[in-house]
Amino acid sequence: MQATKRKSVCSVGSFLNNDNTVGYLFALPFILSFTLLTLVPMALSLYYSFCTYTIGSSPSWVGIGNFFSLAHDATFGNSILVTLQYVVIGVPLKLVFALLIAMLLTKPTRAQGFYRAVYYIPSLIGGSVAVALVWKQLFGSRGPIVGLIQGLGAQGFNFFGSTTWAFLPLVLCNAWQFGSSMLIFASGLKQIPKDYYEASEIDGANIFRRFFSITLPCLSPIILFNLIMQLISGFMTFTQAQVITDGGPNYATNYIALNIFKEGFSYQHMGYACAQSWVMLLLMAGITGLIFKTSSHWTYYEN
Amino acid sequence: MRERRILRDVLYHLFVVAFGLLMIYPVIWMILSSFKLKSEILGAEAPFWPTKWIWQNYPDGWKGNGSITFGTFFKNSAIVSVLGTLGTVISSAMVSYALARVKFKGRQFWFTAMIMTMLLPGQVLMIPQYIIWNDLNLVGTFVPLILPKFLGWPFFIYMMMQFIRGLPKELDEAAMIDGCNKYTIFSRVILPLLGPSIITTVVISFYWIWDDYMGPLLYLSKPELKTVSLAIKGFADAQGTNFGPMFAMSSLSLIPVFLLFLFFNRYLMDGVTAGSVKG
Amino acid sequence: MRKFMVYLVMAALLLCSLSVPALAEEKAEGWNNVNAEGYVFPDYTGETLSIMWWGSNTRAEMTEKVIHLWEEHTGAKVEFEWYDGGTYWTQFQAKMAAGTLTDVFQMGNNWLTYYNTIEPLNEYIDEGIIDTTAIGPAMIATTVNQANGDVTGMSNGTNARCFAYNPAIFDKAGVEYPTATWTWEDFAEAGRAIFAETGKPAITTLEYNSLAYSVFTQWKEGYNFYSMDGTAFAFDGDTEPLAYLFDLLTTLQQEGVIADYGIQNEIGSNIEADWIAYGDSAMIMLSSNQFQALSKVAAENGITLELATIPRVSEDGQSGMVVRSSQQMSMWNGSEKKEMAANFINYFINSVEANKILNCERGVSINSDVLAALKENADEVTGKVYTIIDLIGSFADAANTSPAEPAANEEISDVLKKTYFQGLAEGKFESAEEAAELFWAEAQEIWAKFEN
Repeated sequence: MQATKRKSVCSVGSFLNNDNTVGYLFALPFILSFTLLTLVPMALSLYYSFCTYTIGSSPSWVGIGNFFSLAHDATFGNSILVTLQYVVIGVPLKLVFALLIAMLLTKPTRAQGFYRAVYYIPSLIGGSVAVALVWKQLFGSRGPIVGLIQGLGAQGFNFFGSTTWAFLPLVLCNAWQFGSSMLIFASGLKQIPKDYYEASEIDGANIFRRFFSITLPCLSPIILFNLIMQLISGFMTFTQAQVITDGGPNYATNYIALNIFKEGFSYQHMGYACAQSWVMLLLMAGITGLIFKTSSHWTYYEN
Repeated sequence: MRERRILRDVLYHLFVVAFGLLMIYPVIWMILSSFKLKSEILGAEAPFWPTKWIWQNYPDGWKGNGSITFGTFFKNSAIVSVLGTLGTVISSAMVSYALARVKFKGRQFWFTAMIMTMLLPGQVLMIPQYIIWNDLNLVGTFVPLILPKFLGWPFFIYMMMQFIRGLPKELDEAAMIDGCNKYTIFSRVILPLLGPSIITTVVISFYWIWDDYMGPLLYLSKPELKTVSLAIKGFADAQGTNFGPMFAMSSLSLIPVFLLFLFFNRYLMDGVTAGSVKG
Repeated sequence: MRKFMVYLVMAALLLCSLSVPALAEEKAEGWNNVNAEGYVFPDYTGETLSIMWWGSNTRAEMTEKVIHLWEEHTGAKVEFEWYDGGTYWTQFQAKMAAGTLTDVFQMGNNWLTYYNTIEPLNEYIDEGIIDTTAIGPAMIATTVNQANGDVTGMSNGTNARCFAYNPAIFDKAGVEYPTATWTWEDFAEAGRAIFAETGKPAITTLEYNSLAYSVFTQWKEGYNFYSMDGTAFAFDGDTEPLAYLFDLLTTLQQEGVIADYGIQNEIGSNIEADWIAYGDSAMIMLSSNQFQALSKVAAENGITLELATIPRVSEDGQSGMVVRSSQQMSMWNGSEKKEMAANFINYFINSVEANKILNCERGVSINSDVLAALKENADEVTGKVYTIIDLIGSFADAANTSPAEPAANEEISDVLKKTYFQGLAEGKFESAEEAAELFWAEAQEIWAKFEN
């Protein structure tokens, strides 16, 4: 009797300690949110992408019609190009900036907390109306920066009227809000065992050596994380382009997410917007997949 | 030698302060604008300092609209942000442990699924999600804003995963020998070592929720349920914007997030020199 | 027997003819006049009505006061929500998708897009629940679907696209003020003279699509951008007017007379940021109900502004201007409280006490009694708005109403501005004529997307 009881306790115990049980138990919150809140909307958006669909009316199946139109849509093609431009320039800029500031502010001084707070504040005001207005003033046609450029001889230059340069204030605005990336880098730096540095100091490695042989490798999982996340948020950039340039001039800052929003909500082509979203998803899945593939060569995990 | 160090320190502080001022110029601009007349906020020759300090913008802004003041909006923001942050921390820590340390069947699938959910623009998911919450009869409550946070936020799940993967595996093995099981490894080994990333999650998720506008827009439609970020948007319209009161309330809304940061930053502060992991 | 039947029918007819005035007497003349002393509000105690609108918190404050007044009168409870203009439509579409719209909602000239959510008000007007005795037919027509006569809502007020100008700068440049019949040539001449004097752009904001629509109407009698019922284009595929406007505005912009798109983007939708309010430009285009907000900032800078009409193609030609509904109160066709909703709309549109609070912030009231009461104590700035609306209303072609905006309009007007106006400035087209023709081709393509 007692033996059987112990045995059953044991099997319950081993069931509970089974990797599958533990894994699904701990991952349960996400599995719930995925199946209940995300899966249906995602599937619907996939379905709509094969339909002509306006919010509030019933979708009608058009097969690959939307994707066929997409191939000929110059505005959409352009929006992919400008988004790539934004991502390729903006993401490295923001990451390098965030990492440099994070390292700059790890110097142990009394004012460190205060400094960090100061550098963090810009991220707190987010995509608010205030940011849009300040940015329009700073980079506006009568702002200090344009004044400087015009002083250098570029008469009549202004950012928001130039299809070539309108992206720059947006990229800088994004880089300027580096707070969360900085914070994540900072806590990553904190996790690097201090003895690593001590050992290398004894070896006489200089600051650059230490950076490349210790900081970068130890931080690589966090760098990978920040890279992936900033890529994704770069592709999704929406608010700033909407409030600062409204996608203009002449579609120079008409990023994909903005274009999707316009198609879906303003122009009443939700089916077409969904098709654009799925093309975007595939594009991003390709890029992130590629990064994950190569990451095993440059990311070092502690095992 | 000592003089050189002092010089280096002075240069360091000078640089950090000067660059910091440049960084927060827009924030200073906003705070100063909250004391200005409309005509001094915009326009080419707008003065940096207000020529006349308009303190009235604060009471005017606080009044909100009609019968509901910013007191209510701050309370709503606090409820959503505090509960949402709590949910994010708990759920993200749990899920990230499973995905980073437990070798269960389907782990790769769920990880890929999680990354995929971040790749579809929220704009096309918005309406179907709204319909789900509406069918559950929860539109017009805080639930659609808080409950999903208790079910994991992919950004933070992945972030914590990366931190967990940075922890030496030997720790788990040693704990196993000491008689820990998978649950106690999580609570006694992983969780304590996740300190910095938990703090990071608290700080970032709090201000993202505080700042969020699209969520409250759809779900908190009743005036008495509005959050600060939503209420601030209400000052602006094509037919005229109340800039002074808007900036006054924007400035006030910075305070809670700023204080939270100052409070938690202490735990992130000592930096490289005091590493916590003694492998 | 047959005779008896005839008598019977005659008697019945007599009875009927007697009973009709009898019924009418039961409800005395003006029974539904909300401003009359004897008006009795229905008792809705214990019932709730839901309402939503867009606007600033200033508008919200005023609207809330009026709602409370109506609650006091009827005993009903009103659940209301409001958003800024940009995000209102996202919220609206979400509610539309979920089938949970409010009983009464604010609607714009884009009502054709949301037509299947709107309850026509004809029945309520016929029954007198919505009183239209003090509202002129032209004013009601601003919200009527010309294709079938449906009244899609009651206008909250009218506005018109027009120009604001700074007379002081005109004086300085020695240019005459705009007249009621000034032409595009006058406009260009004035702009050039001012630019020569100040060295700054004379014009800082233009609404490109509505200008284009105006020029089509001005071009030839019978032309319009869209037909009145919003079911077709109405300019015979004639791209000449558009090429004319493309050429005129692009030339002026290249000369520096009109601000480039960079400056126009900076100003964006912040009317208070417009250079004109700071004495840095002389003219802008705006909607008349933006004039109060603009004048307020200008006054802080010691600047007084005036309103003028849109220039014409020829002095004796059509004005191309319209007095249109700036927005309207519409009823949701899924509402279960339609009569109550109608009563609220009636109060909101017709009541003098309510509109004294609302003070034409949404537009110039369509009810002549209300307007008369408001005009009595109008301040100077608001007076200018009343004057320009009266002036535009007196133009033969403007007594007309604005056409319904077809569902395709949002995309067409966006494309017109961004692809063609801005593209032309970027040198992406050989000539204005080419741009106009390519636009026409694309506009038809966009239109076709909505056909199926």
